[in-house]
Amino acid sequence: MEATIEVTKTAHFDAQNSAMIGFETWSGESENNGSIVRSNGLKKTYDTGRTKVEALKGVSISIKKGEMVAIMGPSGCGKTTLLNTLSGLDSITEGDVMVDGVSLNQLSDNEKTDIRAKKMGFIFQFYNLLPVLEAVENVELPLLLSGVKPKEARKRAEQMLALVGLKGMEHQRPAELSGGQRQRVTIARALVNNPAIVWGDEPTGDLDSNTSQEIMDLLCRLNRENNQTFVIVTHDLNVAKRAHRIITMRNGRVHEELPPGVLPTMEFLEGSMENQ
Amino acid sequence: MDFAVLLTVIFAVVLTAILLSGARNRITFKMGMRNIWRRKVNTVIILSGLMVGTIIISSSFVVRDTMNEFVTDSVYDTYYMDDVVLVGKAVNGEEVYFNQEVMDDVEAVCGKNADGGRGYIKDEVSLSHPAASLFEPVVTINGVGYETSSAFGPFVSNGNEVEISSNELWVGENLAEDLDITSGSLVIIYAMGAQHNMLVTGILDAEGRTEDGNGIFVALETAQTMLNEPGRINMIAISNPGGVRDSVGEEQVIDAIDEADLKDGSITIEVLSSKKADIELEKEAAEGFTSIFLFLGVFSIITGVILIINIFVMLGEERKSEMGMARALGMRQKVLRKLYLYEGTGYAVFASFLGAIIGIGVGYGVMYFISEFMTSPQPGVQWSLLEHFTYTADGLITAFVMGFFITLTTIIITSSRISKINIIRAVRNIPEPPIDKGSKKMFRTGFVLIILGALLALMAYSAGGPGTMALFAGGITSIIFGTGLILRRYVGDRIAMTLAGIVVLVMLSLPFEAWPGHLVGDMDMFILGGMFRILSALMVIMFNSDYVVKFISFIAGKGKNGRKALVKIAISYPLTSKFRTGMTVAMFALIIFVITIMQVMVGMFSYNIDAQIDEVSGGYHIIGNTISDTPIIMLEETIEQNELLAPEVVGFFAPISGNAIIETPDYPDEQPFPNQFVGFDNDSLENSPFKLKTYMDSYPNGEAVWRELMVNESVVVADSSLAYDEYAMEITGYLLLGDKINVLTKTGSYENLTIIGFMDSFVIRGIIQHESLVKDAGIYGSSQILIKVRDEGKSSEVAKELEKAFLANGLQTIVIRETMEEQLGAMNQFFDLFQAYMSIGLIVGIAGLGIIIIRAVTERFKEIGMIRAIGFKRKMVLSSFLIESTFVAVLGILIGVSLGVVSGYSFWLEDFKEIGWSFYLPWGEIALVGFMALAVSLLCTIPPSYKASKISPAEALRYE
Repeated sequence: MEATIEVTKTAHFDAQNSAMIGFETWSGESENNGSIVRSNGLKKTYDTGRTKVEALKGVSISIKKGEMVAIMGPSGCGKTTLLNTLSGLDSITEGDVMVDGVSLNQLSDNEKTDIRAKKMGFIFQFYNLLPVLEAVENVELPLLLSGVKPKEARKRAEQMLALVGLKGMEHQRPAELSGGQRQRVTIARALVNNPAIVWGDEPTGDLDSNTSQEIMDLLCRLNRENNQTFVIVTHDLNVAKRAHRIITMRNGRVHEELPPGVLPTMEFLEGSMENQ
Repeated sequence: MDFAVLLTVIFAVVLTAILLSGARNRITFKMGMRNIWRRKVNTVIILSGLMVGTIIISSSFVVRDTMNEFVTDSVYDTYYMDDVVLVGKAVNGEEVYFNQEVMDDVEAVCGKNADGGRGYIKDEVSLSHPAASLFEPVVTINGVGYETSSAFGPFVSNGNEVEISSNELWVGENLAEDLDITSGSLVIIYAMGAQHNMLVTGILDAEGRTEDGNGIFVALETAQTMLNEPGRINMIAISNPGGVRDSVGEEQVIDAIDEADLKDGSITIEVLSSKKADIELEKEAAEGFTSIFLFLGVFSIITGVILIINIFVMLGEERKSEMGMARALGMRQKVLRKLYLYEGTGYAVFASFLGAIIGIGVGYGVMYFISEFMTSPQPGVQWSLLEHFTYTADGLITAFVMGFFITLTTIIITSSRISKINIIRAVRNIPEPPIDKGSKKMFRTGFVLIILGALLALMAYSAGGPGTMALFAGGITSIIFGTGLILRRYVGDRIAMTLAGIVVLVMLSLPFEAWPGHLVGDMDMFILGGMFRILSALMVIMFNSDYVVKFISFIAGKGKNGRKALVKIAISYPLTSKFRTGMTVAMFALIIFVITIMQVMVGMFSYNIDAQIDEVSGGYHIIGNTISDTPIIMLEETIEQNELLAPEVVGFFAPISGNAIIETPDYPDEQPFPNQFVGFDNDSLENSPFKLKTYMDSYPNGEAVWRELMVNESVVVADSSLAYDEYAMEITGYLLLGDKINVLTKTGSYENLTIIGFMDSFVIRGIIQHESLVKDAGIYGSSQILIKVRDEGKSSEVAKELEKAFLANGLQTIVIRETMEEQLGAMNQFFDLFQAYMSIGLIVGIAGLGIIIIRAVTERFKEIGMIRAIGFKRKMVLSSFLIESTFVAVLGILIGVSLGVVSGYSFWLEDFKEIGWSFYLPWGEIALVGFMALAVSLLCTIPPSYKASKISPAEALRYE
């Protein structure tokens, strides 16, 4: 039954509890089983007018604070859609998403934007830096949006750039930086606001393996040091093996959850198991 | 070969060549054609942009054709069946009456070339209609009936042909309406100091022989009796074979008359005017009026060309990736250029065709505006231009072909730029890097610019004369820009190009006097100077864009909630796309520049209206002129005896003046012309109320010039209408200080009189000397009077009463303030029309901005998703695009206004400061124009900006 809530092996979602929490900010790990992000029967359908595409067919997952979770699966399985709906970038067709105890379903676009600005950071495959701004200006953008004073924002942005190894390159524009350097700027931008959750959509997808390794080292270090939650959509097994947990997806649903050290097979990732 | 035919042939040849090339490159041709239809909305936008130039050209041709039709129709109405008009001239050149039998000689001379001749009287009298208490001081009296054939057509009353017999009085329809005259009305004709009471026989229809229906018509003998000219006439008209519009043989008639050298005693019979020559003259005058529209249109055409460039550059950017792929797969750059050529030709044909048609509508709008709001220079006459609205195939074809070539040339040049792509950068959609500091190409271009500029400047300097100042300035500007390109190698773009921009800006803002004296600047200097200054201002801003961003971000950064980030992003984008932004800013700046100059001029004229009145009036309020040969003798006595005038008139100036003929021996090609010979008494010369505009350097001041007339009979002062003024908008005289003139009067001639000064005013017209000399010429009365009233508000009332009191003299009055204000109003309306016409260019700029924002939304789709992801709210995205478009529009408006104000100030310095005018900036009006332009721009950019704000971040991030 498509409409039924699908509970994965590791999902600890308590529907009753969730309903009681409602709009209130999640304040105790015990009430939420330590999860900072939870989805319940999450569905997303794209209606193009001619056809309806069910990208998510009822996903229920839970991600704990400080966790680094990798989401893997073959192309078109709904990984990016899941990330977009969990982070509030995309609307939900059915089900619910709780972020830090707040149901995204009941928030306006502006309220979701506020949550993204204050509690989330994003790292994209193609960096998505603003080409007209310098590196430091790109990094300070979330701070300025959160109302931090310009001087303070600049100071913190410079510190963050130093942290990601870009000291001295603050005033370069994205076009003047290499792919790895650009991704470091993206990471700095994602983390400068000290967000509770960092979403990464193929953060190393456009990088060579060495640079990819460096970037993952950096992310893991920041995850460790700051106890921030990282949710990373990736195709790369080298990236996934650094995660605390791997959630695999297939055909719009959670396929399985793998413990640390266990990786999905290449056949699965290439989609050859679709028909199994 | 006719110009339109020539253009059509060239167009056909070019189009055939392109089509033949397309036939040989079918795939490329197909790709080009498919590009046109690929995105229909894009195609509509592109066509709209491309057709602007053609619309401007087409509409100005429609204005020209309509004006031609209007003026030629009025000449045909005036002449009707007459083709050549002859007058008799005395030895001194004055037009005089002559024996009516001369007409027989004229007819004999013309022979078969003429259908017939008519001898007649055409003179001026005054007319009153006592029962209605209405009068008209100057009415044309026509004495008719001495005709050798019926070729001149009949007189028509109520649709019936009528004969004009002795002692009958027929009144033209319009005059009858003005004076409330009907058949049987008793009227009084004042002629030669006598009154003639007559009953009106009937009213003549205002058509055919009655011209404009404003005269009175009597039998020739009746007119001869009234005007004391028995057996004499003052005009002969010849009607040639053919009708009103298709008569032939005019030249032969004129040649025959010239050859025959007909005389009546000492009076020579000469050709006064001819239908054909008048039509040519009127067409020439209309051409001058039309050229203003084409001249103003140049700015809009330039903005249209800029829009075409911008559209194609953006098309190039949009297709960069696919073009890169095509190049990677083996498509040559030449083929890419051809692809654009085929596509561009398609656009150009469609756009020019539509533009030529739409131009008819715009032309109609212009004519409607003129017809509705403009007053004719002749008081009380409303121009009925729309009745004459027309357009010609010649005009439309010329507009179409010119528009086609402007569009195609721009597309070809732009295509060659955008087809030069780096394949890798194009495929990966990576922005082009800035041009290297050490670029040899730029260095070489700099040298070429310097050499070309030097050659141009040298040529202009050696040639001198009209038009050379613009060429010289263009040459120097080219040298400066070239130097900038060379300097960039050593000091970088910012310093080199900023310096070059500032130098050009300062140089081109210098007044004309600062340039070498033998170079003459005109409208071409105005156009070129305006364009180069805008280019320079843009260079200065664009090469310092980071400072601009910092400055504006600093100012805007005071607010909360990321306003600084918002503003910074909003203005960083346009300042990064320097070329495209520069082009759009230039479009706004060019048009606002011209409109601002107009505003400054209008404002200055309005602000200085009192100064203008003082300047021309000498402190008087009413001007009075009598019909020739009936001067006023007892002005003071008549005023004192008039109950209404006595208390209101507090002063008058009535120098003796009479008719004279002026010869100008220094200008052998110029004909002698009639004017007034005016005598000032000692008191008027000692305390002249009139300032001098210019006077000879040998006199210390204007007072000395006036006093010189008291002691020196060989010098004169002339009124300002006779002086040559190279900057005047209207037709002026041709005389200069120091020129010699001969004044011929009835009693003799005064030769070799030197002009030692020109009056600032023209309320007193003529050549001025001491009254003793003028009295020697047999002139005793005053045909020009100036009246000062106690209460200026009652000027109109007093003027009417003066006309009534001096009806026998045919006194016609003008209230100076009313006339000046009417003239100012008419001028303001013309400026309004010009501004409305310029707004076509402004629409282009606004469309250009709209296109940029539409393109920006597509280009930044993914970036919009990203900023939405990191915390930009929808309204912030909307604001970001609106701030961006506001920034571009405001930048253009500010540049245009600043340069326009500087130009307006330069005009004031050059032409108006010395005559005592104050500089005035109509800030309110300028701000209103700027605000309207900005508001409309924002309205146009709201839809794409709103669309951007509605983009879902996830959807945007998925966009490839």
